[in-house]
Amino acid sequence: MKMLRRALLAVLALAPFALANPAAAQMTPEGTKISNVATVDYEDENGTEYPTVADTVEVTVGYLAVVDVTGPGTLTPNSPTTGNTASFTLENKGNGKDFFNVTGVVPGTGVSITGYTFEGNPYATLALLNAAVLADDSTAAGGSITVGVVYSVEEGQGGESIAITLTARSHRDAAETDDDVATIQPPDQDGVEVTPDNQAITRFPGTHTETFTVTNEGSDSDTFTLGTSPGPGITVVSVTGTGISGGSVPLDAGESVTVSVEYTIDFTIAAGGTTGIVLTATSADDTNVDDTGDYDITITRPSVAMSKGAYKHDAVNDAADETDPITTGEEVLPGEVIWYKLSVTNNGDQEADGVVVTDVLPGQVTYVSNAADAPGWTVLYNAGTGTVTGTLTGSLADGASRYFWIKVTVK
Amino acid sequence: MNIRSILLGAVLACCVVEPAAAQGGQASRSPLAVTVENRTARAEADRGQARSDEHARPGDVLHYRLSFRNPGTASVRGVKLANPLAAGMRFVGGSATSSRSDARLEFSADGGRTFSARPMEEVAGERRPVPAERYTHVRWTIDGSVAPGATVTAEFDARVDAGSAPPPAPRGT
Repeated sequence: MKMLRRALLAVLALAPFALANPAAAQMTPEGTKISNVATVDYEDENGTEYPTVADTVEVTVGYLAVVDVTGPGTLTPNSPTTGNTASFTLENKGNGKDFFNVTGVVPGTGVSITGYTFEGNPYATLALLNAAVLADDSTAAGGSITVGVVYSVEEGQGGESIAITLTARSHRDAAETDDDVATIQPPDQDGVEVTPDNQAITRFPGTHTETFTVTNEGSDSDTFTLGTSPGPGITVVSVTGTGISGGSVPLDAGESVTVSVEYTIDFTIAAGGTTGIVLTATSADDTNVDDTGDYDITITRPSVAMSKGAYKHDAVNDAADETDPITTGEEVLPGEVIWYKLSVTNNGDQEADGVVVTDVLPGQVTYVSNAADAPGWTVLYNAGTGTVTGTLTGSLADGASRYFWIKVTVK
Repeated sequence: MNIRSILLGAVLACCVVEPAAAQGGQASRSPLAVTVENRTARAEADRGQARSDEHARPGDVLHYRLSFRNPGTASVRGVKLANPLAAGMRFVGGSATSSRSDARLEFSADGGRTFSARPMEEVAGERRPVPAERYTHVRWTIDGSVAPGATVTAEFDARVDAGSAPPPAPRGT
């Protein structure tokens, strides 16, 4: 850094002299005494030579401070990251011993300085760093020290180029300064995360909404395409959320969006059956980058089965003879009393509410009465339609069965 | 022979050092006096950037002035003013001058064994001039006579070795 600038300035300012001494020699050390000895010889007109006469002037070389700061070049930490170190070399290119003083470390936007290191030790501030440097041995001409600048890269810096400029000066000559930069270029990483994963839930058949969180885990802004994969019995109604348009959502690095997926579960899945819904977010910058979140859905529902049977009449008890069911093909006689048993059983895993049993009586029978297994049934007969309606008050618990009887006579 | 240690900064007001013997009168005066002026320090002082110390620095250009005065009562001839380049000094090409038009200027690049107006060397089978900064000696030979009491001066510039680094840029520019 320093050398190029010096070379240019030297050519401009000391043009008559700048080309002198291209040889790779050492800078004249401080304290060197340069003695210039001149002589003169002469003779008189007769050719008699006079003794050689000499004279000398001596110049003492003082200290010339030359500080050369060399940065680490280009560094590629990820964004975001912390605890990164950029090492700067501070070289004493002067002609005597000197100390260095780091006068400034300036980070560009997106990078923050969190500390410094010197000889393996951490220092929280520049003042502490400089105190440690001064407490160390001075640096001889041609020597150097290495100072570490500890820095963090903020989110969203992928693909950026950020400079950290370190300026140092000579402790003996405060006017002698130099600086150099570390160029921080976090790679442009794409990443996305969708949550939750394998979230177990139970749902009734019907319409529901589940929410997913989509987070841009990349180092720069990106747009993510949202897609759903519904399991059996599920139909996706809509995918909505802030900023979502046309099935995509733009997100800055680190930004998240809540995605609401509305869907319906039909009745094709039995209680206890499983299905699910998956949301996939795919990076537009790199379609190989995607992530999925999913709900594992267990169907919970009542499942009411109904049966109807016919029984002989128990005249003694004026009730159905449950020991004598009328089988298919068995004959009954006109005027004979028979009983229909209408049973409901909840085979699901949730109680069933509002159970209503409707039975249209055959035209060959005449409604007489009804009888319930237990309180709760309200059984009505509509003579106009020949329909018997049994309404169960309360719930039919999962696994429970209820029934009522319809007493008829054969026409 | 007069040997003096010179601190340049102490005389920056004039930046020229005169032989101490010059103050001792005509009888004791040496026929040869060498002075040195720090051109770089002078230029900095002219810009208001006077140095805080009295020393030369690597990269400084020093101007040497050799002054021969014929101390006798008769003319002298064959006057040769010679100046080996001191260790740590690099001759500045084109800087050598003389007050006499009949002065033959010659240089040596081999430690004074040979002199010529333009020392040559062979590099990779090709003869070419030796770079001025590698001159080891500078010499003026006056072809004519120097009258009694007359003075001949010869001057040249040399730079304090700054090593492989370019000379430092002047401050304040």
